[in-house]
Amino acid sequence: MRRFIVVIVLLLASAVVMLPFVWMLSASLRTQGDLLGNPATLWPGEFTWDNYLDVWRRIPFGRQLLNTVVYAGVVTCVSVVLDSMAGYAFARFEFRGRGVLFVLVLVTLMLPIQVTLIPIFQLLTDLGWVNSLPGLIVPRIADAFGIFFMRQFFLGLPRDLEDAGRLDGASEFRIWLRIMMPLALPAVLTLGLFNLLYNWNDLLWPLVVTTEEQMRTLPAGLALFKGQHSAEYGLLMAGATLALLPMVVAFVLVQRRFVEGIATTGLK
Amino acid sequence: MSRRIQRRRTRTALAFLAPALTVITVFVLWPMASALRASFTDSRILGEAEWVGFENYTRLLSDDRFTNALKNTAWYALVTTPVSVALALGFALLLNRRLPGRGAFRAVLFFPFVASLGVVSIAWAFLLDPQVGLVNHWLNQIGLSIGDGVRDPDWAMPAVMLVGIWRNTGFFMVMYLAGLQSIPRDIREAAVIDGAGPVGRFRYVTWPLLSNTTMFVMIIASIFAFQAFDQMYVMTAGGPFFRTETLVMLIFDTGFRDFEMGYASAMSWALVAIILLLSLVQIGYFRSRAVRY
Amino acid sequence: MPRRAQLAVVALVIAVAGCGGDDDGGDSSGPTTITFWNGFTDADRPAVEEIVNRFNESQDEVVVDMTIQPWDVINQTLLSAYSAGEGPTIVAMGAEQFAGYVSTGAWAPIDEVYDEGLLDPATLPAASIEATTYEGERYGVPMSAAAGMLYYNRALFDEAGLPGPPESLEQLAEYAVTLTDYHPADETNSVYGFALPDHGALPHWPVLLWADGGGVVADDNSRSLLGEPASIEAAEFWTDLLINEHISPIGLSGVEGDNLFAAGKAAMVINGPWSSGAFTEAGIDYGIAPIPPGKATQVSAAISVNMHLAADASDAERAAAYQFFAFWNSEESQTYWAIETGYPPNRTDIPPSAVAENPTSAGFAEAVGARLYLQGLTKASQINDDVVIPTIQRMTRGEGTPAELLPEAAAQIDALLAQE
Repeated sequence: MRRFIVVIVLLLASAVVMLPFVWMLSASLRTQGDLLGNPATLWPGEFTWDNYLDVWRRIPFGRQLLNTVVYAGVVTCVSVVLDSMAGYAFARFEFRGRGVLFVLVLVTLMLPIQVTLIPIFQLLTDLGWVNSLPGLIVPRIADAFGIFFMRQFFLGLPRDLEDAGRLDGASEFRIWLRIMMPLALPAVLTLGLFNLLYNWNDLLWPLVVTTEEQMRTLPAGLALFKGQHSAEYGLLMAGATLALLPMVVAFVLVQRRFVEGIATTGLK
Repeated sequence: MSRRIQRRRTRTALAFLAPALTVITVFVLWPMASALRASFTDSRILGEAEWVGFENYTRLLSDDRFTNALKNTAWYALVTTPVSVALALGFALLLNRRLPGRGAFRAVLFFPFVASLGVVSIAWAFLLDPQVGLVNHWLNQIGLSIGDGVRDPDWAMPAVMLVGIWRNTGFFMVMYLAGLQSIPRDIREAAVIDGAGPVGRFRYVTWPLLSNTTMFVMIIASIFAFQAFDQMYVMTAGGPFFRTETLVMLIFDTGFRDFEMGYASAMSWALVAIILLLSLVQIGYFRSRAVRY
Repeated sequence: MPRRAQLAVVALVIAVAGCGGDDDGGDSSGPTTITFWNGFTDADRPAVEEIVNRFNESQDEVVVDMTIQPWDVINQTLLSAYSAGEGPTIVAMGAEQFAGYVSTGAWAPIDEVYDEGLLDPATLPAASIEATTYEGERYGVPMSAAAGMLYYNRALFDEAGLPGPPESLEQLAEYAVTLTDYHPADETNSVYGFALPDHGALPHWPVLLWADGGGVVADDNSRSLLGEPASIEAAEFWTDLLINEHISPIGLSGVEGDNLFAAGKAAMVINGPWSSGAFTEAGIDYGIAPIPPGKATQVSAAISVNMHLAADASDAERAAAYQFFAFWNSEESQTYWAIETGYPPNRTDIPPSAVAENPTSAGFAEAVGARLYLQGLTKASQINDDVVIPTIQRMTRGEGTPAELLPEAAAQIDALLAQE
């Protein structure tokens, strides 16, 4: 009985949570005229697939999708490694200034990008990295969020395996790679998912770094359907829907790995 | 531990840290230092910037717009952080057990974080429009009404708070799910064998073991909350009459609309100081309760 | 010659050959490429791209490399680029930020375009010329120019037995009251006479104040007119209609006002030509009329987007930009522009018959009394966003009467004007 109530509650929560997405889907399958003429309904009066087809025509969707995959993909893969290493160091090694350094890393999360945008851009210009893949990717391959996240996770892992590894004479790097990282798999996957999502949807950074349409990412491409005084809602929503499908897939893949509690057989 | 081993471990630690810290130093800390320097000038982005010392900072103290934005932002953070974290924990606990459709529910609750906030804010703006939106349309049918919706000065902030909670709860839930993964099953099983009920199990086993995750979630949640921008920008434009203007919105306008980048930088660093203080308090709180092996 | 040395020589030759005429667009070895940023996203983009393509194909000396920037981030992308010396050669922006950018020294004066006869200012919209003039020098040429006009829903008018568009603002108010069918508990069935937004739209309230002899800022930008009796009276008139007669939802943004009209729930709305497409698609049977006169005069809000030249442009780039300016504003291009987008053409010497194909364009060419709002003020955004709009928002929500709030606002504006 209690489980039944829980499921009902979850279903209600789901309905509320999904409402904007249902709207988005509905808007993507209607003509602009239908959406604006009959806004107070979810059911398309004038059903059309045109938005999904036109999105490929009006912006270089395929190309921008590829750019986004490369950009978000590379940043995710590299940042997960770098952040995990740094998080592990903060969690497991004691060294002078560790606390101060960690707080300094945290502080980088706190300053709004509005005031660092121009200095970063000037730096990229000096490096000749504007409108280039390195310029887009390198500044993003390590971030405080990931370091913080992995630190917390590593803090909660038991030391027994590590110590056993050290007694066996394994190098720290080997311990990290062979023992700690597999244990941290749920966190690593989760962090990967977050970084992927964040960079996949990031509008401002790629927009400032790249000016050529062929180099741009999806959010920048989709932003072209918004005008100063209006928007082409059907196209925008269709594009947004297409853009979030890969993220849904990524999420499902990551969640599959979450089983109830880690197997602790390794502790024996 | 012998000094030699200590030194070797310190060197190893720095080796682990080096790649990430190099990137962060060059591409984040250096621009931040630039911004700090700018906050002591009258920089207008283009042209010469003159040193003005602490003038920008003292100006903040008597700036009504700043005080208002700070108040709004603090209020926003104070409400959305605990609510979204509590909801996230609740959902994580519920969805960590065996439940029909568990995977689907997790996906659904996480969904708000998947699309760009700019786009979903448009969806919410449409839905919540009192005249043409679905929500009021449905409410009217059962005799309720959302009145003026986001245009009502008293409801604008609750509305954007709601969107913020809607967006972040699933995100924090997934973090909690990851944290729950690190709680060894045998510890929980031991508690059951000991005769602890579900509430007792949570209080004495799960909650303490989650403290690392909770610290992370709370700090991140408050940092996010203090930097809220997107949904206000789309849904209310900071209005009506600055009721939903947050600090980042004010910084954005000051820097990029009025070109007063020096003053905007000072505002940003004041924001950092506030968030930092808050985070240090939270770190201190959780440190005394941390579970470490 | 040993192989290595051969390769070295070849490399050297290629390097030397490649060195000439690349960076600044040397005329002898290739076309000058200039970059052009603008924010014409949305439905107008194809027309802009077409004209740029035509320019590039029509000659070999200049290539325009255009990037469309989304409007909400244009300041960030532009200022970042300018500060690093990577700004576009030409940028198109709305007139609202004109004075601010010019005063930072980002743009170069372009009087030569007119003085050398590439364009004749007499054939261009007067409001645009005014919008691009700063301290006697001209810093831009028109890209698009229009003035707000009244869209009215013919079906709703017919239903209410109204003969045609209102011929005075007082009549507009009367009609609005007649057309309003207010059902707060059942909004789906509400109809509003006149959608009057207070933010995120072209200037509405300033127009209403001007029409009755009031205003926001005096013509010579010396002081604010908000506290004048004429302004207060006009504000009281319209505030009363909003609060007591419910002719419009209160607190609308421009987009929400448009959506209301497109859904057939607002009988009148003031807007520019860009909305006409959406209204047609939504199936609204609408007409376009000039904003009717008030007690003092007949005015409408001028919307002006202009092209500006970067101050650090080289001579070759400058000449190239001038060529593009002239092409954009040529009769051919403007005729195409008007027909495709519904904007009126930038050229006063294009006869209405030439753009008759697009009734919106023809309609908007009939706008009367186009006036610029807060022109030439570096503090324009602050005055509008930080003083005028919040004051109107307070007034229309009953948080103070016009007689109380407007003089206060006028004082705040005077303080900002003193900083100019």
